[in-house]
Amino acid sequence: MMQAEDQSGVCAPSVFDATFLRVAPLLRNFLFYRTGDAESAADLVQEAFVRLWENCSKVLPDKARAWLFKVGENLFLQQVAKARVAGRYALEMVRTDEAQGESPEALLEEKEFAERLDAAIAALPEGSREVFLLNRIDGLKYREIADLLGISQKAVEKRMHRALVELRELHPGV
Amino acid sequence: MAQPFQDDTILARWLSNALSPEEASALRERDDFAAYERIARAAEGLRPPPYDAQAELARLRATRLAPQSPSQHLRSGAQEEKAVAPTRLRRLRPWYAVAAALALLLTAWLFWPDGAVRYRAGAGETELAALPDGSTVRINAGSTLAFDATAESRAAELAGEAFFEVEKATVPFVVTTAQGEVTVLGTSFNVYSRDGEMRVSCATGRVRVSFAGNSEDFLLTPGNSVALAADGTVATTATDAAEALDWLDGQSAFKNRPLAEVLRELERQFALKIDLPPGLDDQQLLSTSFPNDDADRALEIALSPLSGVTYTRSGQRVVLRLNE
Repeated sequence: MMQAEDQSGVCAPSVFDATFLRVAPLLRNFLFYRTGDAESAADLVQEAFVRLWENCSKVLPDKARAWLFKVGENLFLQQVAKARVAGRYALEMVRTDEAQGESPEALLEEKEFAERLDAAIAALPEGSREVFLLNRIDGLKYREIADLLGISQKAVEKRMHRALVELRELHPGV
Repeated sequence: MAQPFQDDTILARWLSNALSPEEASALRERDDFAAYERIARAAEGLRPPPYDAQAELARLRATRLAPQSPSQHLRSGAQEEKAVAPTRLRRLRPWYAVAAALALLLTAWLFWPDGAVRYRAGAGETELAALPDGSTVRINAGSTLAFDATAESRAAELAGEAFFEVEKATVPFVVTTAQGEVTVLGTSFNVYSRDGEMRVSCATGRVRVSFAGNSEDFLLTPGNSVALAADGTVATTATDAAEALDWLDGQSAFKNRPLAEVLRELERQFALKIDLPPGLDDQQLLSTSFPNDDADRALEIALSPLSGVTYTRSGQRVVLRLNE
């Protein structure tokens, strides 16, 4: 049996806007982890939502997130194919935490540690990097990441494990 | 060298607290465990660059989707929304934008021998202008924009209000108004310049603002605004997206603004002429939000909260009266 609300999709402006506000920040982060560039990630989000609008009657609100991730990933791959991103990846993350109450030497050491970690995260293979960041930064559960990336939870856990091992290896001084 | 792991998901399950007590204690025994703890701790302080979803939604609407009727927001009921949405909120086709720009360009050259392109949104309309440099500008009712690009500069002159999405280039893009200047390389932002006041809100990228007669430069990042009041004072604030980007959504929103400013916006949006009675304080502050496509409704929303005031409308003329 078809559900009655199937035909409505996300075409209603209020539903479309709510979907944007709900999904766009996470999708931007995912695409930022891929591109390493906040501006092109934001532009890819715009493009993905234009596609969502064109297909609004076919996408159910609770399927919109997975659908947008798929489209966003495809748009990213098309961009890579045009060789606009490849070869100059640099993840410009922002640091919010300030270690407190420690000696200047300890603070400096923490800062250097953090900087080397940033570089190590940027050097991770794409699959491990996005799993690591989606879990650690965006707080997604392995199950949710698996659904968004279209892989098994086990595969997500393997990538996560590998991310940690590689971060330790890439990170001299730990 | 640390010994290899027997289990290739154990660190993942450690972070999600899914280890059995035996697995956990075995992991703690390892001499590299402290290093993993430190990595996990350091990663907690990482944040991606800021992202303003409200501003990005406004940018999407302004540049990629045609404006939607605000009455859709005010009405409730899924059935009505469903019926109107797909046709109203259409993606703007590039050929359409180019054709519109060409049409404007032709008229522009007739009147402007210096090569500047001129755009104008009359009362009750907003215009989407595709500039020759690839930038797009949505121009609010009762506003004019002139644009001239050379090898060294991209110069725009604005009177009124407009939302800019500037194509990235090495040549700076400068918006000049009667009160000051906004300089960017590639970004999106809103400029309001009317009646001696100027307000600039940054949606994406970085924006530099300077005001005439003020040597200070103001650097805006996404979500920030700077406002020059008519008395010359300058204040920087977090953007109130509802107020600064309201018109992209087909609304006009005001927060503690003088009645006179609200009335002028009503006149611009609906091509009205509003008469005030002597003795009415047009500097009284009010907060209101009205749709830009329904004059009667807008007048009712904006004017009915005023105590002791009634109004009548005939055609494009509106007369306010003080009650006895």
